[in-house]
Amino acid sequence: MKTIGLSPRKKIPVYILFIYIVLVALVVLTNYPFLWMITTSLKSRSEVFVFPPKLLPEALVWSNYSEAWNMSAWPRYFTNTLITTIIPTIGQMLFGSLAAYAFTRKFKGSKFLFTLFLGTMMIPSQATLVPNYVILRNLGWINTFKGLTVPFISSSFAVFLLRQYFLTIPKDYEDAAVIDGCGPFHFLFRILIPLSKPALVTVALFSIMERWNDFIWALIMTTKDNMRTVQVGMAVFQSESGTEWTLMMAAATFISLPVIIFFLFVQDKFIEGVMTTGIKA
Amino acid sequence: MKQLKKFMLIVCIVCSMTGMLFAQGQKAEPEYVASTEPITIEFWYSIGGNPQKATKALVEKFNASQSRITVEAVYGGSYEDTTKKLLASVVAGDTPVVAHMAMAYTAQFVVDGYFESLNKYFARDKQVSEADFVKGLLELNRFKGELYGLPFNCSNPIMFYNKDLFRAAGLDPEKPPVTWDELYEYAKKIKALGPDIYGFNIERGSGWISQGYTWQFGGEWIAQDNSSVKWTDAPAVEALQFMQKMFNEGLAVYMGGNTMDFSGKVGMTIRSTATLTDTIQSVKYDLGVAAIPGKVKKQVPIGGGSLYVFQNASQAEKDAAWEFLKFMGSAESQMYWAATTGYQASSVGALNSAEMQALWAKDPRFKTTYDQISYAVVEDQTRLIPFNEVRSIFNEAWDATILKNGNAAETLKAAQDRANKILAQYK
Amino acid sequence: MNFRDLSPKRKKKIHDHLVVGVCLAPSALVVMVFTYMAFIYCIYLSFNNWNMLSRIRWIGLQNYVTAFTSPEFYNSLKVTFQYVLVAVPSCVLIGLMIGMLLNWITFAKGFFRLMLFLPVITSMVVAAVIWKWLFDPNVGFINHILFSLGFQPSHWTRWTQDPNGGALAAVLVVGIWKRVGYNGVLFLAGLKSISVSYYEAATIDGANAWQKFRLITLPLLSPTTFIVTMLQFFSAFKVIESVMVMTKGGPAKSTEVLVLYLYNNAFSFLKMGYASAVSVVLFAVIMFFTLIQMRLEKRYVHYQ
Repeated sequence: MKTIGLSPRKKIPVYILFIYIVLVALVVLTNYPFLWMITTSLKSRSEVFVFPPKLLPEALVWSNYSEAWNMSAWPRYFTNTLITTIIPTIGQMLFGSLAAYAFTRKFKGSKFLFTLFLGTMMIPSQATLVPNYVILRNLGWINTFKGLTVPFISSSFAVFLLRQYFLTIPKDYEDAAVIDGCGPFHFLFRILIPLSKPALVTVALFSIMERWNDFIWALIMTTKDNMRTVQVGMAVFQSESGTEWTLMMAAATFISLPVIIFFLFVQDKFIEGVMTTGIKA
Repeated sequence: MKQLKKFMLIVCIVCSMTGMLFAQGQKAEPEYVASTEPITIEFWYSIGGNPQKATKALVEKFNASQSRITVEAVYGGSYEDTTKKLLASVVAGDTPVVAHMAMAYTAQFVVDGYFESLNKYFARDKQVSEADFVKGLLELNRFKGELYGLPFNCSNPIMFYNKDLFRAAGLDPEKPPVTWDELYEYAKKIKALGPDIYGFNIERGSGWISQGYTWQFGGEWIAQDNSSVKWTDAPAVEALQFMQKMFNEGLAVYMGGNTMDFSGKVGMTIRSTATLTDTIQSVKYDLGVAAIPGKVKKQVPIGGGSLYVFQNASQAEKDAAWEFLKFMGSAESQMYWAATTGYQASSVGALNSAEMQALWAKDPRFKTTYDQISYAVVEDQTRLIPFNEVRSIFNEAWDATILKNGNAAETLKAAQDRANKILAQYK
Repeated sequence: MNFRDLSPKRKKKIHDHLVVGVCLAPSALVVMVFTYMAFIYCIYLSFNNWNMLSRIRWIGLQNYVTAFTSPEFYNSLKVTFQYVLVAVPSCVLIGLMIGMLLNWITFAKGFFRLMLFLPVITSMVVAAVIWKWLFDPNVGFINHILFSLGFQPSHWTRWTQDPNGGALAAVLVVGIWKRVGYNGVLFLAGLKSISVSYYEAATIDGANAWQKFRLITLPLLSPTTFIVTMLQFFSAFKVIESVMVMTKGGPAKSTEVLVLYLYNNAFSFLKMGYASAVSVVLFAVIMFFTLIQMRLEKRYVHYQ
């Protein structure tokens, strides 16, 4: 095989170099839009309307950020988004574990119930938007944190994933625990859950990503400004004739940054999670 | 907030009952006494860009001007989005106290009685009178004798043109076209400047401007009684055919958003006067402004919005809202509004002020919209409940004709049938 | 009879059931109310006329008749199918390519994986806003590149303003861009699970790269391919956010996908009953294709 010598010991085949070139091109292609987002957010207003477009701004207009920040109640939107992200995430880990634990045991109707849980993945959430709006309205949950969190405090995805993980833990553990006089909840919280960290982290990360990025639900289930989330705030920001692109891009940047930064810290776990369990639409 | 609402309601009921006791034998209407209780009211508004900043500034001014009432301003998105949200809030029984809406979108709210009539407030308040507002603009908000909104942001479409391109094409930049036929000739000359230069941008998506074209070609958009649309009448078809011809010959583009108009690659465009300040700040070319061209007649639609008070708010909230409305409609506020955005002032005081004369002298482009007042007419369908749906059908017919090179008469016929079917359900 | 008087075996059984009940209750409640109850309610609403302000009125099958005689409804179905037909194969193929590329390399693997994954974690609203800007026909970056490569301005270079495919193409690009990183990682996982011994054996037998790919990789990867295709299909069928932000379904309804049509009828025109009927159709269509895919799975998917 033809090789390029780097050092006498290490030879890199040509095709590997080619692969790297393709990958670098792909990375540039996928991330160029983000670069545009950031540079546009720092341009002056009239610079945006020139053709051919220039990637880099003439001078950095940092005031776009403060202006965009002051246009809407962003601190409030961020707080709301945090709340509507954290509560369902904790819920999915807790209630998901409980239900998954129940499904590791044999009881009458367990198969049927589990099928019902899995069946929800067949019903697209978009098909239940209208009735859910009516249900929330009848419960008086429009414009409340209840409406934005309770429907997500458990998901069949979390239950399914955790159950699969729990099943990989040998039954002997439970038998031993029972002999030691350990109750079922004690066993679940002290032994099973600590052993299932990877699965729990995956559940948490999926939940965080979905809740932070959710748009349609928050859009429909809230009408008041003080209940808006960052995504809704962002969408409202654009109006047909008066779109201020520089401010829009500034807002897009600061609402994406928290997730991206968070992701940088947990990326290994997350991608690991997707790779081992990534059954999620 | 809820507690406060309830409390205020009780205070009001008690006040009015004691009032009635004392006023026995006299007039049934109790004398209005201004409350001194602090109160917060929510206000939704619906315009982005510069007008958004100006609205926020005015609200802050109002809050600073007195200590009793606090207005919380909330941006609801575009007119359409705000209307959707307001409908949803009506359904959920959770409306704001004051809303800023496009007049064209208010029919359902007015007809179903969601808005408070302002007649009694005008009657009892000696500080303002109806005569303080431009009559034509105020009357747009009247339905069966009751006044439901206070004109806030009034506009009509004007023509923006690129003087640099005019010069390059050998046209006199001080002599913009006054008829559609002239505009066509101008567009031809500007188009000759290059393959990526266009003579005219047929503004896409707003609907009220294209409705205006129908008028200028001598037609009507909808029957006076709102029973059927008139899109297959010759003028409506001709207007669309005219635009389609310009588009097909490459003289015009048909584009929404603001990037085409601000890029400097288009000679002329028609947009609301509301975007005047936005445009001045965003373009790098020499910007001229002129009245809209005519064809059979000169006629422009009045657009924009008013401020409305929700009828289900407590009396204390409504009283506070009235103070806020008065402030927003005052000569001073309207002057500030007109100068910072390009909108028309709805206050007679602002119109006659020395400041306005100074603004016009400094930048005559701000005057164009007022020159058009004499032939500005309210949009046809202000009291049309399924307006949203009907106008989107009209816009789709324009899209299908121009962008897919359809037959104008046929697409308009199909659209008219669809629209009339919807209208029939509301008869 | 008292609990105390029961036999220990029965006691344990009751106790066990209690534990199961307590564990399942919260999750079951959420799933039952917001999915099943909602769905049943949806079916009920689909037989009624209701604008949320008026009283609910039973109209039988009228909503379905309206849907199946309405050109707008068929249009939204057509647009959705167009979207799915392009999005699913391209997302799966590009995802497979990314997965294979990542599988080949060792150096800086984490970096590339991360960079290709970034669009996945960005919200669709943000993505659509950025791309709307890049696709701007007048000052956008994409047309700049195309024109400098010698493309002539045409109807499709008006992108979001072109009803003859341009707008749909723009929406598709965003959908594909946002999804391929995810598929790539799933494929990477699938590729990793294939035992190296197969390839070693094939090398000894003198198989070339293409033969190895066709005879080992593809069949052994088929479970992953199946799952990725299914997931991609679901997500493509439910597309709405990118369309809402970029085109609002226009021009001339050329990007009005089924879910947007449903949304507009429900929340713009307040036709709750009709929108519910459309929801039921959406469910039926997805169900139908799921069953077909499951049939295909039995036939073509090989498990190791």
